[in-house]
Amino acid sequence: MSRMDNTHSEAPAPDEAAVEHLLERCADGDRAALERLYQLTSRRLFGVLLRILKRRDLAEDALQEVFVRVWQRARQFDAYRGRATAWLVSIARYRAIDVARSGRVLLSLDAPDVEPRLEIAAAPEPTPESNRTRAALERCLGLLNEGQRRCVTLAFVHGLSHDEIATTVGSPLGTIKSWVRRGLLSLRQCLEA
Amino acid sequence: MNERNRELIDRLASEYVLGTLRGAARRRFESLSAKSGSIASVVRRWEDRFLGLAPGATAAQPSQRVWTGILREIDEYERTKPRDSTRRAWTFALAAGLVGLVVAVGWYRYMQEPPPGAVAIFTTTAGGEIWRVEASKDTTSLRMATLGPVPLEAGRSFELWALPEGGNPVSLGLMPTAGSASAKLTAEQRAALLASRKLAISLEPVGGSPTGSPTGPVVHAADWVIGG
Repeated sequence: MSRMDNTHSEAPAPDEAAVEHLLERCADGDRAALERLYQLTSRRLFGVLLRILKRRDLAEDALQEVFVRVWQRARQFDAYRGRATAWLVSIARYRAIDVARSGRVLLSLDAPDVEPRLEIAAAPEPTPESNRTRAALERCLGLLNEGQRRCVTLAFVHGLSHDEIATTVGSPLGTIKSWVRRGLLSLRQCLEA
Repeated sequence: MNERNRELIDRLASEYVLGTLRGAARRRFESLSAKSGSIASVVRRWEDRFLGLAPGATAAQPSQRVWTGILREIDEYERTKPRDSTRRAWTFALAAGLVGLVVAVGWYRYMQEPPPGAVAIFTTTAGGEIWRVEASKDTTSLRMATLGPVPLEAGRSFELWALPEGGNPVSLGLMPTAGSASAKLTAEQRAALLASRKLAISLEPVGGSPTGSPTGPVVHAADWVIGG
């Protein structure tokens, strides 16, 4: 494949329609489309995987698996029409969680590194709609109490389990579980209000 | 779906997407959602709610080996994927009037290659296939492949055992929880396998039985079918 640019630290923002078109071509077995898709999205997805798996080798294995799955499942993409990025990111996150689950990796939790920061990403192509979604998420996360917000962020961004959050935050497991559950409920209510 | 169910599904979906639903519960929910369009749409709604958090600001450059690995794996996948290509090959054969014994035998052999020396398929009580275990023709190596979601309890491993007739179980190693794994067999394992009519899988501490014999419950057993 063509050499990839190694100099930028920011991922290029792939345009949703282009990604969707490439996925359609992958469903028809077009490998050039898969290559282009890889060029457009692999760095972002690798970032997502690295945050959860912490180790490059594991994240690279997972990334490989993600693109093989994308190739195999491109025909099932229809249900996700209009949400190409959500589909790709979900495949990547679930893969990372499965790898973390299967006991091949003990997450190295160096405390300063996992201090949760809210990284609310700009949508690939900001539209009034996506800006609204993003602002809403930001506002709703802001309404959670500190404990709930930490739990939700540690779980989502770093892929931590209830147990791992309890260890990181230093609170009992029962407290963590209820923070997670209430945090999710408040988020849903707030986002649907 | 009644109201209580709806709330439960929503809660499970939210924890599934967040990633805090783990282990066997995660596998169960995943297969439920694969079968039910309404559950899948609850999952998609939660994915959408979190989308703003997902891509993050960070990106990183993976090494070149990832792309080569992808190409290698999809080659392998296309080569072994039976459906479409099989149908096309048959259509072509019919059209060309070549449907004879030679083609049929040739095709059959192609589909069968490489023939395993012996095979066992492990299924759930409901009949879903979980693993396939195959020995090479000369019984020097073993390949274990997952066929469906593996309902693994956190903090446990699945260990595979040969059950030689008139002898003690002999460990054949740990079962993969995703993808596949292969192992070279020792002389002891080989002898045990050749004398077995059944294989079993037990639930053990992570890393396998500390004693060399099964310590946990046997959760699966399957016939070990030795081919000719």
